Amino acid sequence: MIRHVMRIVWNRKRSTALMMTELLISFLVLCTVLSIGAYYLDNWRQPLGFDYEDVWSLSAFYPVANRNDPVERAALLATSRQVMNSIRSHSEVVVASPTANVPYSGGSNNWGTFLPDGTMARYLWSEVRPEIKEVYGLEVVEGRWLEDGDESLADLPIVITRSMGRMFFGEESPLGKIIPRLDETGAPREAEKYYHVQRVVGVVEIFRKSGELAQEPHAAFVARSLDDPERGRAPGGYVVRVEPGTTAAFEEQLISSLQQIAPEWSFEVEPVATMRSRSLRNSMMPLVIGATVAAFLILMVGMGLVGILWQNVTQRTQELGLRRALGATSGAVQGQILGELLALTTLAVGLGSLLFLQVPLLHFLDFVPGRIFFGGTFAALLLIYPFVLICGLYPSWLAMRVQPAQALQYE
Amino acid sequence: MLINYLKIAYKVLLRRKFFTFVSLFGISFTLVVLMVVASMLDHVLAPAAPEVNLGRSLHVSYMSMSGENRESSGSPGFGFLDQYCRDLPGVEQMSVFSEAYSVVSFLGGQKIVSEMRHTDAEYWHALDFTFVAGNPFNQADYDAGRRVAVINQQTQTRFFAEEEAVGKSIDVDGQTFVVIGVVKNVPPVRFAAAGDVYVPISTAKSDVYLKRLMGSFNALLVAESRSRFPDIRAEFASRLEHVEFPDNKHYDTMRGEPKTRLDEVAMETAGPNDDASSKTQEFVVMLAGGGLLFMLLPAINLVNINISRIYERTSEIGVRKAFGASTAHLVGQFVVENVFLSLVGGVIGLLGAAWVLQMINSSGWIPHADFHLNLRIFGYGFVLATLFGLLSGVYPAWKMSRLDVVDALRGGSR
Amino acid sequence: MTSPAAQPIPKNQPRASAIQLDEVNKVYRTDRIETLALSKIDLDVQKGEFISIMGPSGSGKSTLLNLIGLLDRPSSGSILVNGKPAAELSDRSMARMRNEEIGFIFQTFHLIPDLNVVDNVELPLLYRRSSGNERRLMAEAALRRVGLTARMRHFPSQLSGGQRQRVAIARAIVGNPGILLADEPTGNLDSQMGDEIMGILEDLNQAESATIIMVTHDQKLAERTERTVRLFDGRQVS
Repeated sequence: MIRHVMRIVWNRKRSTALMMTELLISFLVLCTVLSIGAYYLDNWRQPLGFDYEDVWSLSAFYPVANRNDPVERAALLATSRQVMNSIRSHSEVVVASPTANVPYSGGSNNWGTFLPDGTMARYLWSEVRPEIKEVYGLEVVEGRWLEDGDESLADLPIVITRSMGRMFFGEESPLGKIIPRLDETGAPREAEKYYHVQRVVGVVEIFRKSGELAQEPHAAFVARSLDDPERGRAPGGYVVRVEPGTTAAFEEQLISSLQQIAPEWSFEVEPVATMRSRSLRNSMMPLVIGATVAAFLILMVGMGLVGILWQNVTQRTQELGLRRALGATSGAVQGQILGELLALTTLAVGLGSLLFLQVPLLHFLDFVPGRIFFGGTFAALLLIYPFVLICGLYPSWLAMRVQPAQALQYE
Repeated sequence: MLINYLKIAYKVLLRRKFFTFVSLFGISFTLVVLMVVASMLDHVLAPAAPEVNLGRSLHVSYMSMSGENRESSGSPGFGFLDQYCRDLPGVEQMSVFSEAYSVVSFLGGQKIVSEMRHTDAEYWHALDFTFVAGNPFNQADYDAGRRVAVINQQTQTRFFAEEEAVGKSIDVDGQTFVVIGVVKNVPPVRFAAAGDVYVPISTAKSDVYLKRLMGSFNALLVAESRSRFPDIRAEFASRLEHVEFPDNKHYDTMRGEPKTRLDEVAMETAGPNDDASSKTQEFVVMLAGGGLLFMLLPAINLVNINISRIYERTSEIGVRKAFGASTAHLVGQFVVENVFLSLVGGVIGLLGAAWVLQMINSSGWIPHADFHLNLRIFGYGFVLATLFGLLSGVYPAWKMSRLDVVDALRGGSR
Repeated sequence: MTSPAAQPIPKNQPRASAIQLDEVNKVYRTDRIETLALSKIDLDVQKGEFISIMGPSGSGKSTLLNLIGLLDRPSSGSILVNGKPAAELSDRSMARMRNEEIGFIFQTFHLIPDLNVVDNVELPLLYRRSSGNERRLMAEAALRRVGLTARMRHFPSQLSGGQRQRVAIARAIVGNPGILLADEPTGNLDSQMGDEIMGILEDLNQAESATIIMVTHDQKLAERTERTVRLFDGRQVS
């Protein structure tokens, strides 16, 4: 029976070529959508690693004439200390820390270190005060967290996420190991003289700064100095844990108190929860639009398929009647139509898989990891058959109703 | 003849309602998407108030400064624009202004976030804002560093509800300004003009901006005409050779060029590149290619349906042939039918696009969005629909002209 | 009207040839097989003659009619229609000849279901230069000729078989072609209706001296024509 069906498909290849093209393209659309969908779903399921409720982001914008002027730097640092102290002095504030990597914010501070094999390992590098553990509710799973005084040690203590440990040291425990900062030649970098040697003292589970939809970044925390005029830099951002129930009225109070300390600076406060919903909305929008468009495309193909199969059955009434006359049951006729359709789909899917598996080679959907990419392709494989079968249901039902007598009616 | 074709087309469409629905659904949906994209692009790229001179404007909005082992890129600084970009040949008007950045105000315990710009006085001549009240600040205000502000209607409503704003003062970013003018809201795609509060650069809290080469400022250069762009770019490039890096020995090179809006959009989409024109070409090719690719699936669908229909109409085709229709007549008839269908789909698509744009406007997804279909978009739609009709009509027509009508006419239908 | 039955004697001398076939062969080729559909057909039909073609299924009747009607080209041999050699005609001029000099009538009528009666009749006029008004007048005249003026706005599906065939005849004569080709025009009709249709054809032949070539299975109808050409297996047997 399968050979018979295949032969019919082959003999009608010219008329089915277009239908196959259509199936092929819809399969590719389905693969793309499902791969991307699976990617985001997979990201969504993983823990964030931090709390965002009752956490506020405070940005500080300060004018700089020349970052390398020691006098100016010292002045900026002094103001930053006052700002930090002022933030902490409010009773609404539980705990606060500077950081350049505020969750859900647009900017981030990344560093790259060359691995022994010459590739660049990029990670989120947060220079913070130890209090940030309480702000975020970070969980130390191995070793210890940062402590006061860490910032002035020659081997700068660093706390990394599990995934970063795996990247540098594989399955070995990263504790006590060194993450150096070297250039392409393996020499220490002049501009990073305080960070040449970073010694891992602890591991946290995960820290996904860019939120639920983004892929987990490798991340690390080191202690930041607000005192040492050589090492210290004025922070541009802070995260603040406030008492539950603190209202927007406190934002005004906070900003006006800071504005008094630093009248030339500009400040902005926003709850991280608000930033989260905005960021999610902005990331979801293109996904929702893309998914809607893809759904309509597939719907369009579906309706086209129904139409063509319908036409097909009408055209082949005689052949189908003849089959009935020769003793085929109505079920067999329906099976024949659906079988042909499935054979065609299999051809299209085979070709489509071959084509789609070229995608990683062309670095097209590069951000989707291989595992998820294959998962998406597989899901598309599983989905396209029921989809095609549903499209074939009505036409094949029509075919089933063809009476043997109709075969003779035409001549 | 044409009327007869259309009559047949109409009848054929009514006969197979399901097919007609599928075809129209595909065509209109595709055209809705393409037209929404086209009108958004048009909205971004076409001159519109306040950027009325967009067609002959260049923007210095992205530069990069590099030295051994380091590079800094982004908006240029006031110092660079003021020292090296003035008096370029062929430039009629020039304005220097800051990027818009968020500032907070508090009003009766409520937080108000506004987008603020620092601008020069020339800004109000280079751009054509619609003032609903008051006036812009002038050179004298600027020179004196008066704390005056032009605000948009949204800001007026936020701070003063229904009341007149001119003459009153507002506290923004820890400073107090007197409102001297109110302008109509500007959508954010007018990159150089969008903002809520506009104040003189000279009121900045600190004057460190004066000398910086990189920073957060842009320049708008309105040329006499587009034909002067090469002159402007050439002079700009030669001035880059002579940039001095006084305070910072780490840097020795500045790169970048004045960009058209299309260059800027291409850069936003495809990432920064020093060679703007190649990026822009790439962007345009990508857009056109994407559009064609997007039309491919519905076109194949339509081709499929059309071919199915040809078999249904073999008898008609045979009769026409027997009574003297030449191949050209038949192909013509079929293409006309298809273009007719596509144009009907185009009209539905146009209505759909208008509806989608209306939804976008009212959803607040893009603030102050004012997308609408104009004659130009209508033209795009017409061209797209016709293109679509031809794309999906030519192959079936060719196939039909080769149909063996002798068989079809023999009396049976096989 | 009485028919002279197979008497190849022209009525009004002298008459010119409407159709001349000389040594016409038609071969159908597929990948492996060659089928000889017509072999060495010689045929001369005078203007104003009414002839019938008979033969069993597959004997090549329809192929012959299609060749005469310029719907197909012979594999070899020559065909002259109104003195013009078909082999020298381009596709476009062949279409024009079909339009101006030949009218077709089919067994299954082949009316276009989407067009009403008048529009169907007007169809051949669409492919020549004529105004809408002119077309309408000519179509009405042709319908009057077949006695169907009352149903001009009807659609084919609303008509009986005999009425449909009368519409088809009106369509065939609307452009005043000299030659009518009828492929089993009564094959799908009962005998009474068939008689009616045959009557119309005879009338056209008599009153307007139309040349008519009719393929038929029906011996009685064939006897009513001036002469009968018999085909068997692609060969002319009489």
